[in-house]
Amino acid sequence: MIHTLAKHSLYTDFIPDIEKWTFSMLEYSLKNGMITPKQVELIQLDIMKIMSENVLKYTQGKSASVKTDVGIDLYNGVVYTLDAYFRSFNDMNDAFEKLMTFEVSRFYQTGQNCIKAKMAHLELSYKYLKSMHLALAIDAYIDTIYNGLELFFKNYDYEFMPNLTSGMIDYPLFYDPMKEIGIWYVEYYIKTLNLENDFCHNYDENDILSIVALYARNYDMAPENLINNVSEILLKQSIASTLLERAVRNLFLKPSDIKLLHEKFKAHPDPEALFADAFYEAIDTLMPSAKSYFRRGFPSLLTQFKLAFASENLAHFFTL
Amino acid sequence: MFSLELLSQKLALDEILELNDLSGLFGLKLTPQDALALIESRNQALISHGRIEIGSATIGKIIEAFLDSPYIQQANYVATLDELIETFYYMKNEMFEVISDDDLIELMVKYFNGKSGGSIELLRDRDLEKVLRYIHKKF
Repeated sequence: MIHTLAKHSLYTDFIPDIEKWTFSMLEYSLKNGMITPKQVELIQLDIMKIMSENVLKYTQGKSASVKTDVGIDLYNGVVYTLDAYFRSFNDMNDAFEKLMTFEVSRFYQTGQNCIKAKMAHLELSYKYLKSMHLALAIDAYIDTIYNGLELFFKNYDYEFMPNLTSGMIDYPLFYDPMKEIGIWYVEYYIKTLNLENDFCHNYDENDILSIVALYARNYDMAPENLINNVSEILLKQSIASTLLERAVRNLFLKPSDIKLLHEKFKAHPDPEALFADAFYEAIDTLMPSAKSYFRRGFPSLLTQFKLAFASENLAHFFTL
Repeated sequence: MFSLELLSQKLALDEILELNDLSGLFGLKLTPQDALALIESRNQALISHGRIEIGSATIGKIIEAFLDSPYIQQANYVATLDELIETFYYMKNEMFEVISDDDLIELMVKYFNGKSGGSIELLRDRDLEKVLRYIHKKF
């Protein structure tokens, strides 16, 4: 235990850059005198050798050079694969310990194996998504699940360009920081959509269909053309129900309810706090395990609420 | 921290100089300055034809393929290599990559040592141009 604590103290100030994980480790090591510039150069040369081999493999031995855009993608693919390896460590001490062995070729091979394993795991999550998605006739939702993600699994090139993903993801998540690329983004997307679907399964399926139809009608749209997050639509209704002291799963509101809600917020010394309390109460009742996820998307929801409340337009924030 | 071009240059320099042992058997040698000049020419050719190459595989292959040419001596070695490299990347791009590096170099050697009579101008503008026209017609 003492040994572990001592190890931890070495890298407490290291914050990995999610977009260039390995390079941020190298930069940190260099800055702190853990490696020499010469050692960094040797690592860089090893990366170049892998890149050079990949150009040949990619062209099936026909060419040592490629078009610039392909070359950049191949280079980013090598770096991404190394990142996959170093991101796989739960303990940064172990990651730095491995980095100091300078076995770049082995890092790369193991990184490829990490990506392959992630892909296999992701296929299971995708199966779950296809079996548990909502029965919604929203094109963006269905097209993303069936066409967009299917295309990703069909075309994903873990060997040469694991940083690139093909396939269209049109359906927005409740919270999507868009920080990741490649398989990590798809992993975030599928896992989060599964969580959101599980959240939505708390409601009656027919009620969901009705409220989505009402929401679309409010914006003069056909439900199939919506590009809105359904869990957000439902959550807003649950917030209203909580404030009106009704069952949290009740999704339907009348015009008089909106008037009541407006008065309630107006009478409260801190309407935003009232809204936040209702938000967390609704989540706690419906799916406490998803609290940390929904909390991350709360600021954006609160901004929407503040604007709607300030412009006396709660009827457009909630769905009637 | 990481410059693709600089790293590629370092890798290429070591690889090219290693070939001196072999080319020396034919009385041909490159100094580190010659090698750097060739890498620079290669880099310019890559840039102008929108390509990337790491290391010196192509330069190495051209050196190996042409070292027994009757038209190359130490006096014109660097200049000829320089023009052969530029010709290679020009043709590589213009031929829509339908010909592999090895096949293109083989073709260059065949014409250079044969019909072109050691003239880069004839090689590029007449003999390879004919191949190019055929490829453009076919593809």
